[in-house]
Amino acid sequence: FPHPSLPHAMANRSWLLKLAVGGLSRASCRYKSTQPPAKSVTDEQVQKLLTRMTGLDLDKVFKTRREPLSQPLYKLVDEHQLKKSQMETVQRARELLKMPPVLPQRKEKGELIQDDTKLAGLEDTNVVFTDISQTESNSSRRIVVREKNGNLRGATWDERDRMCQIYFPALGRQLTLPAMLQGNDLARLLKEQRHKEVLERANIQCEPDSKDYIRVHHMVYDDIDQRGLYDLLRSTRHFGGLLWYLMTRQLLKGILEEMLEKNLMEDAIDLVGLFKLCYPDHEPSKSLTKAGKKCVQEFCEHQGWTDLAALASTKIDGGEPRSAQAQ
Amino acid sequence: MSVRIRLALHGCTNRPFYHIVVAPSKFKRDGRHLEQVGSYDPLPNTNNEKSVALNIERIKYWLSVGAQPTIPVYKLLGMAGLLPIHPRMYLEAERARNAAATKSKSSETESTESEPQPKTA
Repeated sequence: FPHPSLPHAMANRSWLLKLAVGGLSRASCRYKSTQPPAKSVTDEQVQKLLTRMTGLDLDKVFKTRREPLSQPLYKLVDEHQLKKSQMETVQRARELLKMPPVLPQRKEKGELIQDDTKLAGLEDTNVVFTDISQTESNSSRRIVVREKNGNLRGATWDERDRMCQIYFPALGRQLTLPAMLQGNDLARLLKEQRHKEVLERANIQCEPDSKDYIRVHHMVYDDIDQRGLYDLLRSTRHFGGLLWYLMTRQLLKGILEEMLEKNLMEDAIDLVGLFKLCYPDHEPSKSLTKAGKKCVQEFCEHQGWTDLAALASTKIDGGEPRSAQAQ
Repeated sequence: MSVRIRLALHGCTNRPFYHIVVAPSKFKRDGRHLEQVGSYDPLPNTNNEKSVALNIERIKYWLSVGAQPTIPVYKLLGMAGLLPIHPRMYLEAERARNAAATKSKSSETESTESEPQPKTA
């Protein structure tokens, strides 16, 4: 039943749906309405909250990995130099944790330039012309296609990406989409909980506004949300993107539950704060009066998540501060 | 002798690949050149397209100082939309279309002739 403090819920169908399924499991709570938020992802305050929630686990950021063999380096330093190098390490970690861009899908290209059907039959294949002038950047490079029927048109995004990769190859990128980013291989990798690897590969291979990049990222985020594997991306540069995806689709129950279970009260407070920033005109934002830890409990009560509200109330007194969690 | 924009044949046996170069006509076809301004791959790739790279900036400069493109290069620049279409291209296209039409007609008549006659009891 609609909460008495939400008199306008009837007018907004999506909120009604949310309340109706509030008592059910996380999986059946899923719906994909994307409501445009009040702030953009590049907003300073939004970025600040996303960065705080991402965290900074130095052991995870600088995890041991395979590199070419070299002699280990030993340094004899005094306390001042040690502190300085530690600060530099934290700074390097912050650079590595910077969020990649979150962009809407790019609009299709391929507009007709010249209609010349008298040239039909001259070539039996399309001919793609790429401008390899050094002063052009890949996004503005002129790439045109003379088709078999004689028409001259701009190249589609698929053709553009391919030609730019042929003549100006980006490191680590393939000409064709790697198998690990599509179909059964992608499903298998997600099953093996290798979400971070998939996202890293997608970031290298695809442009941030391309169809495949968005498809892969959304599949990974959906899988993480459905299985509650948020910790896989915590303290990586992909966590901000995950949070933004969940925020714009109002899929906050799972992540809030995980934060409360893991005693991340400050993160939970930041999440509610982000919600208030992005959706100030929605009902919960207007009604939230309490600040700090009690705000989280109030938010859960408004959403109709009674189990989470109970969990939040037990955690209000407990919970480790964020500074203790970071190394 | 004048400066030309022409195709220099590279690649290997049964696999041609052209560099579009600016060179005086005196220089050897594949030899010394003033500048390379593009490439042309005459064999279609796996997506069934022929790829041509053109350094438009430099081509425009060389054309402005009087470099003469050879016919194949002129055709490529015409197809790209940089220069007007060479009249020979319209002629070749029409001839190709006519040839394709007559070929399909002859193959149609062949197939009707080679159809097995119905057996009479």
